[in-house]
Amino acid sequence: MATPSKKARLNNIDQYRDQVISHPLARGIELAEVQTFLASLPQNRYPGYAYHNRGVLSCVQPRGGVPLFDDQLLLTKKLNEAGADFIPLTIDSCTRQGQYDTAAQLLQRSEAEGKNYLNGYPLVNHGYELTRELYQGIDKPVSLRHGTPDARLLVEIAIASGITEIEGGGVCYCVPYSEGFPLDRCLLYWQYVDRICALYSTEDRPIHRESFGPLSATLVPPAIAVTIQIIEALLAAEQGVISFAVSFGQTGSLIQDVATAKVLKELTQHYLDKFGFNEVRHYLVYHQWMGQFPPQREKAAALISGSTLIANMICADKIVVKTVDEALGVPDMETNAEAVATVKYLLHTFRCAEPITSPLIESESALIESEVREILDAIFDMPGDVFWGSVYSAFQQGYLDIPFSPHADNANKLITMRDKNGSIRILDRGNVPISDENLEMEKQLLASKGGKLDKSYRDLLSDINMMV
Amino acid sequence: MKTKQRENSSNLVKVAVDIGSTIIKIAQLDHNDAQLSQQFFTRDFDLGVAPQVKSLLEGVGADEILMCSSANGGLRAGIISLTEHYSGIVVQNQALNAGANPLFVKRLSDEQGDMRFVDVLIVCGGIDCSDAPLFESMIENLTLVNFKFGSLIYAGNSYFADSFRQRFPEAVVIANPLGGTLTNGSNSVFEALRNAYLEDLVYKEGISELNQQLSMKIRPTPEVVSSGFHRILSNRSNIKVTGASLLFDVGGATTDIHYTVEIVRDDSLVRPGAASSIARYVFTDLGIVASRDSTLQQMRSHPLSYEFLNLVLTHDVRETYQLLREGEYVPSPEVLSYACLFLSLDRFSHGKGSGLPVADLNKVSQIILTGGATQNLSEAIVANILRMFFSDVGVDPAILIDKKYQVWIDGITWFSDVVN
Amino acid sequence: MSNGRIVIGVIGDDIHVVGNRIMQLALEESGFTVFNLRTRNRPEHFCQAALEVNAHAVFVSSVNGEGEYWCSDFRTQFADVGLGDILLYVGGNIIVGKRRQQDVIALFRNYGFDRVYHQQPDISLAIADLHKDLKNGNAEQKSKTE
Repeated sequence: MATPSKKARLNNIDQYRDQVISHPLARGIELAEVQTFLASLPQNRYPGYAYHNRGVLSCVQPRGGVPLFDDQLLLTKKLNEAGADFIPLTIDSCTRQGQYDTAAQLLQRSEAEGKNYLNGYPLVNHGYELTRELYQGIDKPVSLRHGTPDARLLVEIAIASGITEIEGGGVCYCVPYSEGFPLDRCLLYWQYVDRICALYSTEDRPIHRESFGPLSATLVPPAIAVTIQIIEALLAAEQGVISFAVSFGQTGSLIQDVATAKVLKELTQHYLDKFGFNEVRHYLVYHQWMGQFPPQREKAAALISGSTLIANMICADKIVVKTVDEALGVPDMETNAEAVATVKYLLHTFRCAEPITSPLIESESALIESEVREILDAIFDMPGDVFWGSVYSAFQQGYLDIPFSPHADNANKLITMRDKNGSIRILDRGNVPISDENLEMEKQLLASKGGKLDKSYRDLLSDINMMV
Repeated sequence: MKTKQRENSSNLVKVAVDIGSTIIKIAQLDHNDAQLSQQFFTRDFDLGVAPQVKSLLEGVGADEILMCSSANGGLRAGIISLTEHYSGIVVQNQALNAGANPLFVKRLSDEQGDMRFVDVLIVCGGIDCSDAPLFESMIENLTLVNFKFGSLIYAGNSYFADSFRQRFPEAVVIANPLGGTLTNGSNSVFEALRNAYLEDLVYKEGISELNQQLSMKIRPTPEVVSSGFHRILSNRSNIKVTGASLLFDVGGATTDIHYTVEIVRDDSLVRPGAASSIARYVFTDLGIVASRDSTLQQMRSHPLSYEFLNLVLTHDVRETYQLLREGEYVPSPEVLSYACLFLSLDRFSHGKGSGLPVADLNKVSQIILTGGATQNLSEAIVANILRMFFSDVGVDPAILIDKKYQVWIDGITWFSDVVN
Repeated sequence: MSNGRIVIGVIGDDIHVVGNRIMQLALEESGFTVFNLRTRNRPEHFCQAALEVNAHAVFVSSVNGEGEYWCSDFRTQFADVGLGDILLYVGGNIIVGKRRQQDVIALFRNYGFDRVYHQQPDISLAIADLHKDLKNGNAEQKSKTE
């Protein structure tokens, strides 16, 4: 039986780190210099500080990354002026795959032709010294948004650049994103990332980690999303991370969103306490609808407004926002800034001091909580000597199964559909170890609300595209 | 024969034995699996391996005796499959994981055979399905006269096992590793080969008697090395690596590579076996004793042979190059080892080999060299050879030469299910 | 009793998997046994898989337009392994850019595909055609127009 433990902490990784940062594109990063630099940053460059001082309103985080430095500088300024509480740095796909040469070529092409040939900022090619300049004068936390299985070099450079929030994790940046990057290697590489975040952290200036809850963003049942978030929080805590945000993506059902938030917050606290990780401060992040957006701008605006209200109802620490142009592709700066302003307006106008609750929300939470406990208990019970090994085995056995994941190691046996209220229900649990009672409950909810039990794939497709 | 040294018996807990083709290696381990000492003994072919090993272990007060063997150069396998990307690769990978050495992988539709002797010939293909006219006719028309083999195994579509047996009564039928689907079948080939391997030892080397005394079965040495590699990569070893890794085990007859699958290029048509983060491949024509001639021949005809010699020799490069071209060169074992390293890197970077994926060597963070033939190699020369294969600037993997056979110790003391 | 064995997959380097998964569920719902090659496939993967599973039909999907690049001698590859009569369907966004439907259909019919569904989101059409074609046999349906 392998449960999360401080014994899993990577120790004596100096030589290992030297090897990683000996890469020429690390451009001679010196760990001591980075430490000094981080200490020199204003306090409000740290997520913990921003979260602590947010008051009642959720922090607002847009996404955004463009290839050219000057454009990214401009985007950063605009988002800052629009009132974003967290400044994003979204990394391009080539960099996420470690293809720095290709990223360099496409960067050059972008510079030469004035067109964007990369879908994000090539941080490794630009380097840490240049990237520090992006954030001079910015007194808000900068958040690294990417989708990188092996993020060791990227994160060393990111932290050296003054980026204090690192999104990702061994599961969430592997199984939903990649086709075949070996999950066990990914878990080990993210141990490194977690560890260096912990090593750079001080009590009042922790480097913050945030897991990516939406996963495949396609009919992911809350039980799976919550379980994986807790797993990543525990894996990070093992490495000494003391500031962690769990997150989830808007499900499409208001009740389920509110219930999920409740369970996520409570169980994260419960399991951190259970395994003795009392020093970890955790926060809740909510992603606005991550599925297909309606092409009509007014509908898109309505969707964004609605999900902002949900963020209020769950008292999310942070909301990651979309724009009205989501259906068209990468939004321009103005649209992005507009979205930030709109969301801030809504957050303020409809502010909510405490999470909403109701009997229905309570019963939904109870179901989700019960399922999460069942799955986690089964994982903690797996034979093995290390927790990350059990997480890997859990995927191999199909105990964890993310619908619509492209990954070769995902079991693809779990089938979910929406009930009449739009809530995601489990139709076939595959090998996911939820109890017969809970599965029965899921199926009843699917049927009793008017949905047939063996809905056709057409209904599945419309379940997926419910917002269009 | 060297006399064995008696170690402080209060520390001695385990004894690990590696029965090689020409050398027997014995290591004494303490309760932390740390090596107390190591000895090497030349095989006494007159005495026979079982009596020799028994006598070497006589009076040794260990709690546990662990044993592995690569005697006979390892189990040679031949594969005849329906396709390359499905039955072929599944069976080949299971064979590799079992520590066997696939000499060839042919198609059922190939007319040419392969006259190299294999201990086991495996015929496979098709999912278990009664409606398979094309496969059925291939089985009916299959001739094995152009193959030389010890045992015959049928691991194909189970509906045609009987017809296969009618034509080839000596065949052993095992479960189809593809099962009813293309993926997620069984490990039948892996199991069969691992047992066949041990039986091979039993019949030809007389090790069966030893088997009975041991707490654990004798394992094939390549499988032990694989196990050690896995242990290192999963951070359960004292050997620490820094990322994607590539291990070379250069031997007398073969050069094995074990690697993390993340170094396989995304556009490689051949993918490593599913659901495993490490894989093995064996070059059966690269080695410093039994495969010496084929290694030299490949060096001779390689376009970069001059550059290679320039890296490994300190003098007389031009003269040696001349000798090599004329077939007169008598290289030292070290040079041959470097040659095996060079040639296997070259093949891996181009995917030149049946069932061998194409590697992007730029992704390699760590190289490990293990095996008797690598003990006296220089890290500097190895680094220079590696550099010939990097296209990205500044790639500089860490190099570890396993001088104490720690990979072997890690593997032989670890009993985890490495393969699926 | 299965209605038939179908090999499906996405061709080229595209990793969009939602449509592929839906396609699998839809075909299974319709009584077919599906062998899903998922993403990143070349023509030879479809060909060899069809041989291994004795497929009745092969559904090739392309989401990002890579279809045209990979498909030009599709039928030939199947003929070479003795599967010259197998049903070959292609669908999705199978070309890059804009071209008339009939031109795209003609192009891929030329490559040897029996049915071509370019930018047609309703997969039930393909499934209905599949039932028909399997019942009627290849020879007849080749003369049908889409």
